[in-house]
Amino acid sequence: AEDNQQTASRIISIDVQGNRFVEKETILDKMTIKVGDSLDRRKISKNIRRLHRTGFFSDVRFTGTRTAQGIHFVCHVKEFPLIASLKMQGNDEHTTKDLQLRMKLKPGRVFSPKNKTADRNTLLKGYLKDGFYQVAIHFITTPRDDGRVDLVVKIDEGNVTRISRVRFIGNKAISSGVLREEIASRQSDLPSWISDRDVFDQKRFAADSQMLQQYYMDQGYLDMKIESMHLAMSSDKKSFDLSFSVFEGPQYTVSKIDVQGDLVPDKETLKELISMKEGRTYSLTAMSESIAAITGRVGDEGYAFASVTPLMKRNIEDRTVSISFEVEKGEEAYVERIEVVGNEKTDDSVVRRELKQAEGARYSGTQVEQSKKNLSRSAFVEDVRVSLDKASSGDKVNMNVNLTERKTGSITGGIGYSQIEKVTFHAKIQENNLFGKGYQASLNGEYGAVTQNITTSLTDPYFLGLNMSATVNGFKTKTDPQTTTTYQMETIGGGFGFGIPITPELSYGISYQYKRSDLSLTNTTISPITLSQLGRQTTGEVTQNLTWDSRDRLLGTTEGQMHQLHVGAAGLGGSDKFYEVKLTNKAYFPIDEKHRFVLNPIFEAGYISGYSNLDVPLYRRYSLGGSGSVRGFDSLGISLRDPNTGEAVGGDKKFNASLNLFFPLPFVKQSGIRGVAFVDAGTVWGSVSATVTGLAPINITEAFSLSRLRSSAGLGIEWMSPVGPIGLLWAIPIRTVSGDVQRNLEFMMGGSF
Amino acid sequence: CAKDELAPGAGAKDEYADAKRLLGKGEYGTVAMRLDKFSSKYPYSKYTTKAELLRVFAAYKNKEYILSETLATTFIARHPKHRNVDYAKYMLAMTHLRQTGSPSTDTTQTKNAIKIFNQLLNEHPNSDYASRGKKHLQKLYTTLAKHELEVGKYYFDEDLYVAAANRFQTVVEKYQTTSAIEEALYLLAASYAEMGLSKDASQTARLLRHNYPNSSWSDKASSFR
Amino acid sequence: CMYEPIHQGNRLSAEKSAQIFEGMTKFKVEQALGTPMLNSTLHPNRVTYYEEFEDEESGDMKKRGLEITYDGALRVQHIRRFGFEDSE
Repeated sequence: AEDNQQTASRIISIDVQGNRFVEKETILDKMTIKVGDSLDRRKISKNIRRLHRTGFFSDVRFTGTRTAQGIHFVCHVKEFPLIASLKMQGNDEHTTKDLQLRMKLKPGRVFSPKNKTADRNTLLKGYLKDGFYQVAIHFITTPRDDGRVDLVVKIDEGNVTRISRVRFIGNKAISSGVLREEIASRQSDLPSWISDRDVFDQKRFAADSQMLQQYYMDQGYLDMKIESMHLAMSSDKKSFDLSFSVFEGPQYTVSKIDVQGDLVPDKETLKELISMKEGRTYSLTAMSESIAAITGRVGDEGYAFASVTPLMKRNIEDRTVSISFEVEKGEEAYVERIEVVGNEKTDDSVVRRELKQAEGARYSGTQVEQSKKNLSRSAFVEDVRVSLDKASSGDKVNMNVNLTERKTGSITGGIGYSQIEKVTFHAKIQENNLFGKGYQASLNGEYGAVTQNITTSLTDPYFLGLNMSATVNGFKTKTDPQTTTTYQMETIGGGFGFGIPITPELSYGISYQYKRSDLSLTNTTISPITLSQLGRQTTGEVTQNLTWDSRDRLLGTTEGQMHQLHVGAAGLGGSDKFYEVKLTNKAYFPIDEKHRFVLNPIFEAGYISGYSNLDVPLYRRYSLGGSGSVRGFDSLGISLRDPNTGEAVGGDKKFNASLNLFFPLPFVKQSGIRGVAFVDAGTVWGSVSATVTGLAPINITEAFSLSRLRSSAGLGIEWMSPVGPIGLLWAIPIRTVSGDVQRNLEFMMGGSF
Repeated sequence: CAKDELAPGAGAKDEYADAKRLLGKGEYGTVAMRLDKFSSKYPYSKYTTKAELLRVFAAYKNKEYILSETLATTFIARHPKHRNVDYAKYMLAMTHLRQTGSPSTDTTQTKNAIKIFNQLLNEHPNSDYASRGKKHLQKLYTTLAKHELEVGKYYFDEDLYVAAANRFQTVVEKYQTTSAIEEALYLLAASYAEMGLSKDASQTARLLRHNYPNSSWSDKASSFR
Repeated sequence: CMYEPIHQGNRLSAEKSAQIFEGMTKFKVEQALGTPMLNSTLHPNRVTYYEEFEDEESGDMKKRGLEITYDGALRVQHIRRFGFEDSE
């Protein structure tokens, strides 16, 4: 009996019923009960739980029919319906694609209560984040005959709950109006409809308290605390009332400032770096600037892990605080390895040569900063991040240089229009990282009604591995007669040059250009001055320039200055003999700390003169007008003119100045686009004379005089497009002189302002 | 389409077979796209995991390396004990390998490939994918060794002999089995010589001659007697 | 100064070099000089502290350093100094 009773309770077969989508093997695989097991209550309930956990089934039951041989075991399952199709309704704020991406319910998935509640929460969270506190979500299912369901998720969003009032309690020293300006959340008033700052946002609410604290700490309220932040929603859920209660405490002035601990390099240098002054009110920003400055300076002595902690002693009676900066230099750190990452195309050594910090050398904060600056100014780097992490031993660090490469190759084409050139086509092929070796090569072609030219150049920034750049270039140009001049000129030439950096900002450049130009006549009535220069001329010119350049970026500069002295002398080979001195000064002063408003004064002056009684070639004489000099005038618009023919013959002295104010455009968040308002002034003077057989000798002289100083003002848009700077400007001349040629609208491609 | 209406269970087998057929004809892109919906159409079929593996292969062959990397990683995470998981790891390693650059550019992908191949070797020592992996590993280590050599030479040209020596030392320590070892030993000796550490220079040179007597670098190193 | 020579290796000085004597533990040596920049596995117990920098006055590159051999118990057994004689 014993034995037969045992076999009778043994399972001899297991079957599954009620499963329409879930395959039998999958269910059996999930169960721990197998054929041949004996039946026991505990094991059955464990299996029921296991099958429920799969989330596929709304109900699981086991039945067993006893027979002589054993038990036929059957598992009855009732499946949650499968979703055949899913539609969203009423979601204007978020696209269906965005929502479905985050939802568990998808066609082919199970419509189980677990997934339903999970999706309801995700959707609610998404809407609350954007301030939709009145949102409601409904799930509507229509069953299909094959047991699947069509699901519609209906969302009625309601409208945004805005902040109606922001109140401050307990602020005696600083008015609520001032405080309201300082925090990020805004009361809903007119300008707020374009920004969403009046919409309540959890993160922004948390940030507000920090901004309040920061503002108070900057005004010397060291003990300031935010006692409570209260948010009340109106009953109709339409608006919020935000209130901060603050404890201001006394306003502290700084009594004594000192530095102690590891005084590296010495106490004096460190003390100078502190931007807080004794007697002035305490300021948190000045404190953090001082800490950063000291840490940086100690870092320069090799202590990468230096730490500076301010020790503050308050004197409540006379409301003063004495601050002593405790310096711990930590271990002198050496850089063991520098890993360069992110250089998909650029050679490792091309990146490494820009680094001032080397492996196997002591860590220096300034060298690392300088390396970062060099890299971000180089042509092939878009962005660079430098991080330090521990190396093989305590006093060694590894430096990771993680850079994102800039698209260095660009083929740009463009169509331009100008009064003189009419329609101009130009194409430019530029590669700033040829073969990943950092060579900069460019081929540039322009075809206009008047000028057709092709220029090509190749530069190696590290010629022969030395810290010196070398450039070789060639050009071929042809200019047809313009409305004011009546000669045609063809030139062909080339040259080479070297650039040698002296300090990170100061550099010296020298180059030699040889050019052969042919001037020919297209119609007879022209100025004797032009006549005297017809035929072939050859110019062999050596130019040198000394440049001090601290601009943060070469295109779209927001900070820094550029001063250049240029001296050229023609006569080394070639028939022309003249010398030229030019001075250019540009400065960029950011007005707001985000560098969006930039004031940019520019000043240029030039003097050119022939020697051993030879004249300056016509095409080198000075004329002004157009972008880059005095806007609102056509190119050659401002010049010396032949009284009878009105031809621009150019002066030999020039001066022009501009004041640009760059500003961000309101609706354009995309970086790289900025507006500019400008005022220009400039004039050309000097004298030119020519004696041509058969014609009366002619001399045109104009002395410098303020009354002949042309000026103009205007507006423009500059866009740092991926294909290079594109500009559009509109300018009106304010003071002109008879004979000037004006042009109000100008479109530029490639040239910068 | 019609197939959708089929009784769902049966469809999986046909669609899987159809995908395999298309793969044979080289239409990797279409297969990678079509298999996307496979697991949502047949969530419980036994073909689903097979289809996932097939999709990794299709994306890899179609050079969509970001897709094949994500698919392989998700497969390994979801089915750690699956009997074909070694194939998924092999495909993940191969995906990294296909994206490696030259010794003079970013070596991150090379390191990723090495890491996954080694993982494959440790976790599935006797899978035939492991033996295939060994072959690739040798080539990958050579890329890293050449990278060290190149950076070392850069510092050598800049007269930064400490940095150069350390880079060549890394090749000696970590990549002896690669072909770069001979040049590395020679340059290490040269760096010691430049630093005036003549004893170390001659010892390194002797080490080079002793281990690689007929290498061209050994003759060059004779000057560090 | 087109090319600023980089001060490479450990920062040594006559005072630091003078602190090192035979019998001293490796831990004490590393407290005084830091860990050697030059990692070499030619000799398990021998390390080289090496420094190369541009001499302010003469402008040419100066090389100096200490070769320290430790005994089995990691105590300094032998020191070879070079490049310290003439300078400080």
